[in-house]
Amino acid sequence: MNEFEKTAPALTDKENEASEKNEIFDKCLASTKAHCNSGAYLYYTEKPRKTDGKSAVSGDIIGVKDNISVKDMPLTCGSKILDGYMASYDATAVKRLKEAGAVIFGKLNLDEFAMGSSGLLSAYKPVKNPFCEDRMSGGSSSGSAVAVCNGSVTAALGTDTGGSIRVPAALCGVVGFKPSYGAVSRYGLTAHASSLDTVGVLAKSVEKCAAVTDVISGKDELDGTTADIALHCLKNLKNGIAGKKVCFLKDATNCDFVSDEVRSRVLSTCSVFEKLGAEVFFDTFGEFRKCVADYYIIASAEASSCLARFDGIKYGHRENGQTVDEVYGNSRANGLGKEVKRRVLFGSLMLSEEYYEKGFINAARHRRAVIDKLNGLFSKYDLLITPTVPTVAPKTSDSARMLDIFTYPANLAGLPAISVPLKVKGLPIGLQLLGRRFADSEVLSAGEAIEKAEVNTDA
Amino acid sequence: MKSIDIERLAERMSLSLEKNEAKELCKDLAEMLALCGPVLEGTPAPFEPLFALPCPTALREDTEKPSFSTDEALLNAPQKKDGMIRVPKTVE
Repeated sequence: MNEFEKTAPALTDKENEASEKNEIFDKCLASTKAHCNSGAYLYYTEKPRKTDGKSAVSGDIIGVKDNISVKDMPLTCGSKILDGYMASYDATAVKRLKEAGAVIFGKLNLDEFAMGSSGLLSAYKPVKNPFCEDRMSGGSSSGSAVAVCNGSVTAALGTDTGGSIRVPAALCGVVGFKPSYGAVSRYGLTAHASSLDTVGVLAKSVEKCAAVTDVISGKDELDGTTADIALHCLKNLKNGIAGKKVCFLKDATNCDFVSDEVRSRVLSTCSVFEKLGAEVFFDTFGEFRKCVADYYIIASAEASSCLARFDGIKYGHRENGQTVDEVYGNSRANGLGKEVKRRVLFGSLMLSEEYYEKGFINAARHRRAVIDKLNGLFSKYDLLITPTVPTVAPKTSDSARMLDIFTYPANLAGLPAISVPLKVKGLPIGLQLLGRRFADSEVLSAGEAIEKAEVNTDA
Repeated sequence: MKSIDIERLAERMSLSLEKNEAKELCKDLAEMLALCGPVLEGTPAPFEPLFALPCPTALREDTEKPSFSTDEALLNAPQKKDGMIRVPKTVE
């Protein structure tokens, strides 16, 4: 029994009868146990609950990042401050998957409160890169990427605030899709930065990402930021890329901290795009460095507010104190990890009188400038291409600070973006494709075309 | 650049920090300020600030629907009594 199994309520007799032999589930469970030292899992069930739904995800075994609520499963957000917390409801994305016949297998490890890109910042255990244990798995959806890579799940839900689906997908050699902001309900997602957070999917194939996205997306009256738009991801998946204008962003591919192996492998896909019938262009975005600043200022400011609720009073870890302020202060100081403290303090600094105008407001102005710039590019091109991450997986002793530099713009502008693994002999390399907001099916179909072409590529 | 008043920030964020921890976090914040220099020190972009991406109208019908029971709401309360959360005294 895994360490959290004992905290989950036992199945009722009726549920025991209803749970059935499921070959796919058995395979996933076996893989999970074989990779029990990967650090990917915080909780999993050994008894699949029977589901009746019939859809493209029927029978799929789904892992859920542990900042997304699954009823009767723990919800820790990778933090000690929520140690022992049991979720009492399903997130909308989870509810829709269950109704569609998917089986929710377990909760996947993450960098604490989705803050981090290394996979090393969970309060419970670090997540190991499946290809090389002394390399980062990437984060913050580290467990999601590793569980998919290991075959423990058919697909996994992750979240992406600044690249947290795409970065671990790239470093672990799987597909990671971040839908448009507003496409998928955030009801049941523990907020990190509400204007940037997106629920998305990781899987071994673009097709599975498309199938899961179709199920979890759509208007939700419990999340006022969701759009009433049907994405039709599976229906449009085979549209391909012929006739599309794809633009490689030169200031990403030619950037001096992009490694030679990533640069050459990404640029080698130009000929693939052309063979598939796309027109290939090169242009400049020019805002990547400032996007790093925008992200840290905006995300930290929002996080300082979103995480204010974790005070040890209504739920979570509570420490003693002589006064209520001491209870708050001790509970948060001992319950929150270093990176979380760093970010909420920085966020508070950005909202302080000294920095509010030149920090938070300027970042918000520049965010609109970024959207304007991207709209300008999308008036000429259909898809923008960059490496997902500047290098292959860094060593665990290195810094992860600039891993997300190419992924931030999609979050700032609410765009759909996918990381597709390229065929390589060594450590994985991901190719990132970005599309217009709500053109999710176009991004997925382009990703699928590249994925299929890669099968025939010599690595 | 003024030195960072880490104690004030920590008080605002309800974080009781040890002295060494506060010193280290102060250094980290200085590094983050340097990382954000392009926006902090640069010319403001000639745009109105954007705080949220365009979204449809957030209102829904004002109809009563089932909600959590008291037991469900108190499921994770650290301390509880008589259907209420036991909290530290806040009133003199």
